[in-house]
Amino acid sequence: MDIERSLRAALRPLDPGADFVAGVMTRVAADQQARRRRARWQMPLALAASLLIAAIGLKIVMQQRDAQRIETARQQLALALEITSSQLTQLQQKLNRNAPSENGI
Amino acid sequence: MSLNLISTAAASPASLLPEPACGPPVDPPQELPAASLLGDLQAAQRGEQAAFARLVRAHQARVFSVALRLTGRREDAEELAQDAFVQLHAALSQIHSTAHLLHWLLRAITHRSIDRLRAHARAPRLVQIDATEHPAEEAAVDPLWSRRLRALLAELPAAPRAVVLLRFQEDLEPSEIAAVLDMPLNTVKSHLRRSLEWLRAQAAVEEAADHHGH
Repeated sequence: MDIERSLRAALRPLDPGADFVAGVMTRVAADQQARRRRARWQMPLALAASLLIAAIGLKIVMQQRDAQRIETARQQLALALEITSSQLTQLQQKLNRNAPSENGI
Repeated sequence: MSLNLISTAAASPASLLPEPACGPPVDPPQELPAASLLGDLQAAQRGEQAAFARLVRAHQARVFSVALRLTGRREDAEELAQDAFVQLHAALSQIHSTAHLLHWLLRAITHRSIDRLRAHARAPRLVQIDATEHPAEEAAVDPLWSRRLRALLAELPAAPRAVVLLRFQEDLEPSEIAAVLDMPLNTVKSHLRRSLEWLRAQAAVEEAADHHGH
């Protein structure tokens, strides 16, 4: 018994029927329509997402700049106060040196 | 055409298991002019739907038959085969030859069918029986023996069954089967050898039983 020959004979391809191609083409058309629909929404969605990301990025940059400005101002104020304090101290010392003693000497 | 339902899970190994209701056996598309297929492929890639329909017509029997003989369900086979062609349409730009097209289709349908078969592994299998299947083929060879072989084949696990189908339905070489199934070549050869040994043994048992019966 030649089993290989018998298998080839038993396993000849079967036609799925006349409607098969029509079924495939209908599904291909539906698939293409779905892809087009997705593509139609993809561009505005991508644009909106890009804008949102850009806006968030801009906001973060602005916040960082504000924070930097506040820090600079704080440092400048601290320096100014330090200078003022130093000048006041010097003035105080000068006044103390020039003040007459209690017994008039 | 009469349709019955049987549960193959409960069927005995020697039970006759005809295939579901289908059209007659057809000649494989490699007998079509290769230039015509290539022309249709190129036209389909340019967007010609009629050319794609011709490609479907040329390959539908092979793709459908692999799915049918792997899943054992006509409705599954039809759905899976259609899925494969729809997927092919979306991937047409990646196909570079008619041989690649066939390889792509066989790979898609085999993997999908094996997945479906495994998903249904625990469910009772209902197979539609059509008394008029394969009239042309069975006039030429022993119809009873062909049915027995298909019934025996349906008892093989998914992977060896796919290997046997690709070898004897699609006439693929073991190396080609290995590429389609993502399987080592030695595994393919081993599945083939063991499946054929098992089929021969089963056939011998049934032949002996027939002699005793008579």
